Amino acid sequence: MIEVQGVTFSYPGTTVPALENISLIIKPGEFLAITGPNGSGKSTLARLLNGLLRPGEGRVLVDGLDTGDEASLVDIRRRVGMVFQDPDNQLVAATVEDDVAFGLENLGLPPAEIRQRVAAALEVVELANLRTRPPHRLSGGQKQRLALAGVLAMEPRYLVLDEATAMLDPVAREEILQKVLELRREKGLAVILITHLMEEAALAERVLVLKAGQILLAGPPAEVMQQEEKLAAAGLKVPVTVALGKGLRQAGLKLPANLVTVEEMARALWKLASRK
Amino acid sequence: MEIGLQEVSFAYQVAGRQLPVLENINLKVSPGDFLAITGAGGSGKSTLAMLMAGLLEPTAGRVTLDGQPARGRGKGKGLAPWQRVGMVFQQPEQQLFAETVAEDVAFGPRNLGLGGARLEARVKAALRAVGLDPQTVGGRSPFTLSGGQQRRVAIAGILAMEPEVLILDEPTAGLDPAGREQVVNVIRAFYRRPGKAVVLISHNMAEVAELAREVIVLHRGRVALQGTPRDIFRQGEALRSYGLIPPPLTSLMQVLRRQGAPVPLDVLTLAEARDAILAWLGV
Repeated sequence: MIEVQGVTFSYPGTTVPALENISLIIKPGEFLAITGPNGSGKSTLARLLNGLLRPGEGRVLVDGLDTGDEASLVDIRRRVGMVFQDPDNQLVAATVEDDVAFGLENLGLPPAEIRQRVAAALEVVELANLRTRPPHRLSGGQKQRLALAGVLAMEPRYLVLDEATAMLDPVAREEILQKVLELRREKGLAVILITHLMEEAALAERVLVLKAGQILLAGPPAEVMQQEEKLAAAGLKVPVTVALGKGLRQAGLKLPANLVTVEEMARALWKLASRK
Repeated sequence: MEIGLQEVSFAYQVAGRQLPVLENINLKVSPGDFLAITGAGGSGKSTLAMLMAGLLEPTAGRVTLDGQPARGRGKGKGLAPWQRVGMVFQQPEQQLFAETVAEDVAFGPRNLGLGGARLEARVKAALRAVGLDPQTVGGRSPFTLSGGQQRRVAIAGILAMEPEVLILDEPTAGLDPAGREQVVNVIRAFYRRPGKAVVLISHNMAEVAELAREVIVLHRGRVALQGTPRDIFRQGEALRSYGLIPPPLTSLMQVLRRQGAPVPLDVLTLAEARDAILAWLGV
């Protein structure tokens, strides 16, 4: 469990806090989406979860370990893995497999286990065939998968994806998210998805919307996505399926208001069609 | 300004081996065109953009400007014709460097030899074109601006060179919906001016649907599909094999159609989707 308790955080030299009095609990195995406009504090919150940033006020506990406690940081970062939007800053080695092995070598694992974990992680992200390629000769999407492999090899309990798929093409984005959700099902990995794509946030169990460093909305996607006005005021758009549902209801169709995904909308429409 | 590519191929050299990126590309961009180039990651989109902007030279085939064969920028007869082609790279805000927004925007036109009042006028016009007020923002450090504003400053730097063709590589990627809309408006306003052309590299199909007149889908370095956005979306599930997912409304139509509903696949707007569904349900 990650507990964020009354956290306020300000960047040095600024007067307005980037996050103000945030409290939040992330359960093991949960799929949480954090959304909000640029500058709302999403990435700051992400970086607080593994101690890359420490709270000014309040505290963050990862499975009971305080991120403010220097001695716990190594353990905390093994538990909370993080992949960022720009993978270039995360890639360090001369070949794909060395890059994945890098973090593991720092853990002091035996070579046989390192080899096994590297192979498994590259299998998951489907880069096994490129394992001897230098990272700078990969496409943007491949680099992003490599960064993910490096984090997965550490076998974290919580995976934070900070706009990690923003530069990918739609199919690659969907594939990576599917892979991650598969691991969640198999291993109980918690997934914290930072995104400003509402269609993507809608896939989570719970959505947290930040605005100007504060929690604007929190709840299941079907509830949060109904708050069109609040979301619009925060510079966010409801998924286009929600907007379509509204248009159809105004035209007289008896559709429920909690339809968010394409599949839900299709199912509800067929229900209406079958009553005719 | 017309950019032409004839039988263009491009390969990188990696450890003594040829890594082909583009093969046999033929295309033309003329004034008034709005071309979107889309495809999966690694399909060659960005390389194609660099070739069209003269930043790479083809390994085979040729690139022409107004029908004249053109070497890459800085080669052969110098920059002159390429000055009319502006290129906005991915995440261009990462290349902002000057102490103030106005200085950053002035960098390109100053390199063209502009100075004094003419330079200042260019900078102001470019900032206004991207929706930023030269008075309030011009003197600030670019690093005090939001991500979306920074990106617009970077685009202003290219607009200040007064290109005739604007090539943009994933210009809205990573921006929030409000920032995205502002950048889309900048692109629209540029395109509306007479004699201008836009080449948009994007895998955001909603954006392609909204903006482009013509779409090229690249797949493994070749042109897999070419046509209007409607032609492309009519392909339905086939788009997936090219790494693309149609916008949600088109996806909804595909799902309904697969299950037997007589709805069209080439739906682009919310109103079209609503009307198609109402027609199907007989409302």
